[in-house]
Amino acid sequence: MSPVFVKGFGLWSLGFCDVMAWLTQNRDSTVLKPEARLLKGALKRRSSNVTRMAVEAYSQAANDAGCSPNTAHSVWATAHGEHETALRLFETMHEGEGKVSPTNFHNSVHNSPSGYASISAKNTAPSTTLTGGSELVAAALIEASCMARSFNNDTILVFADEALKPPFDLPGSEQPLAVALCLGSESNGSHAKISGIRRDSAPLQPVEGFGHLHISAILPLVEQILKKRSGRVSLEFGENEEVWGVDVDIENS
Amino acid sequence: MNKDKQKGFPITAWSAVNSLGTNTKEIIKNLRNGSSRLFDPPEGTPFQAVCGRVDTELPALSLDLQGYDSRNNRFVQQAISEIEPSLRAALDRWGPKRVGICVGSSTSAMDELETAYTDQIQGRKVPSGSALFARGSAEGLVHILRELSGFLGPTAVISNACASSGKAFASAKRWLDADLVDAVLVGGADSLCQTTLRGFRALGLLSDQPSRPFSQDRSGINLGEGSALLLMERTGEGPRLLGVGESTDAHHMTTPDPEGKGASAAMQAAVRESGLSMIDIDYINAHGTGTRANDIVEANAIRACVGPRAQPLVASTKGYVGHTLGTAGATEAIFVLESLVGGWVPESVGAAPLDPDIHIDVPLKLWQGEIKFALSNSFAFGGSNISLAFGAPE
Repeated sequence: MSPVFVKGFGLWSLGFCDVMAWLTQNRDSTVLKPEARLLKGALKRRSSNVTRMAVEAYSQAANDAGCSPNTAHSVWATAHGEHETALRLFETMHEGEGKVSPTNFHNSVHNSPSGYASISAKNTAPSTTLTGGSELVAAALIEASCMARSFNNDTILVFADEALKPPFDLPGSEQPLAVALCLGSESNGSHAKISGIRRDSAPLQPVEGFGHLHISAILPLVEQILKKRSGRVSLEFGENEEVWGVDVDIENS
Repeated sequence: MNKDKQKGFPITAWSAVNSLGTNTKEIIKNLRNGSSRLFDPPEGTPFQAVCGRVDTELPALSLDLQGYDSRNNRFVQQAISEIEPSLRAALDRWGPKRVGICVGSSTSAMDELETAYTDQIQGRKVPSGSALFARGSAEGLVHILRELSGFLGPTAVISNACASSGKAFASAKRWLDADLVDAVLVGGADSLCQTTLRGFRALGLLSDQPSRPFSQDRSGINLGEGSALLLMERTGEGPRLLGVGESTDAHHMTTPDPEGKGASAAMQAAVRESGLSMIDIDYINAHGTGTRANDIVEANAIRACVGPRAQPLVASTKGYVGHTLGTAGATEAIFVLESLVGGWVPESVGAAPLDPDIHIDVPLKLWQGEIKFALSNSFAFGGSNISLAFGAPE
């Protein structure tokens, strides 16, 4: 598989308004809701929290890379999708006649952030949403790399999951997280070259603050690139001896 | 027509489970006979509806996979069992790390999560979150597919709502193009649940009568369920995936762009990538949900794409099995492959009398003759569009 280049980052989590705030652990207690300025009016009002988080990270990555959110291809990855919206649907099914809200229903699909972002940005480029378990980060990075290469266009890869509520909560699932990377097929102005995605690495240790939240497995790659360190990085937690990893090359970016 | 581009990737085996049957032979026999199989909705549905429900109790997962047992994962187990010899041959031929899994799912086994929520509020004991996700989410689906196939290459679950398993072909093709794998198990699985039944009803899109795509009397969607799996390889014998076309409407979360620009862009891109022209397309398996808005927009988009000279047959097969959501793209891809191999196009069941505002050639009975090239369309919430171009075996 041919290499791709990381051109920009975005991040939003409770207390962290962007990727540098997270990297330096400069927590700000006033950061409680994502701004998601790309979403306007009714689209913003109707969107869920996880969609706003994802769109905020998407916009930050586009801005950092100097690419247009109106034309970029996109890949969205989420292990648990629109969790709070799904819970609201479950709740209302047990109330009165058991009718559900049409807005909550269309918001409940995993590609809801992609839909909202594309409508807001009038972006008609192909967009893929992925879900899954421990291999989600690797699968999404593969999809985004393949897209960037095959369409020869900037591709924004967004990971987003919100905190999980009982009875569906998991260890380390209390903190919402959205992370985005803008990938391109050419090196000009990029942070790093990434290549060699294959299953031959040792599993990651949990990332502080995010437990075993599947999508937080992207954070060690983000950290390594921002700290300008070349080398191989794992993309997966778990108990398998060999997990997915990727090579980071800072010098040749 | 560019003959160099038309090699594509062969589909060497396929299988399905849906309301038409629990094996491909039975399903295709019913499809060819024009026999739809639609049933009452699942227990607990508080209104009249018609569903493409799998009306057969399927075997439970084996003891070592018991933690993943769900209606959805049983569909997958059943579909895999039918093509097991081909999967084993692919493992031997390419090696386990060179064979991947790329499937689509919209809700997976959401019915399991709904039950857990009900148990919780009614004070019953509920398993842990990780146990629930093993049975009820795409995470469990991935695990089952890997365990049952033995494939150790990349694994992805695409979740673009009703375009999910159609989009899985696009991703799988990119893996083959990038030389990441030599074979991919492509497909999808989704099971009926209250969330989708009540949700489509809330949107005013669910019909309480058998769905009749392209008919002037159409009144909406029937939901369905099942699994469809296909083995796509770098080389081999069989009908071929020639090209894919993807686009986004950027218009509305649930309503298609009234001009059908996104649908047209997807079809044109699929044909272009295949080295074909629209005039080469003999048959289009339409998204054809049976809603007022979708069918007219799609028919107009097809008419605009093919121009005045071409007259492909356009059928919807959702009148047979309902709209199987995340697995619809793969299910309908199998229907198209059977048309390419067998030289027939199914009756677009329920279409008569045709909507007079729809100006495409919809077969009102079984059509028999050579089909060389075909498209299969899937469109989804969020404005996600995919069109797949397939060619007959060489």
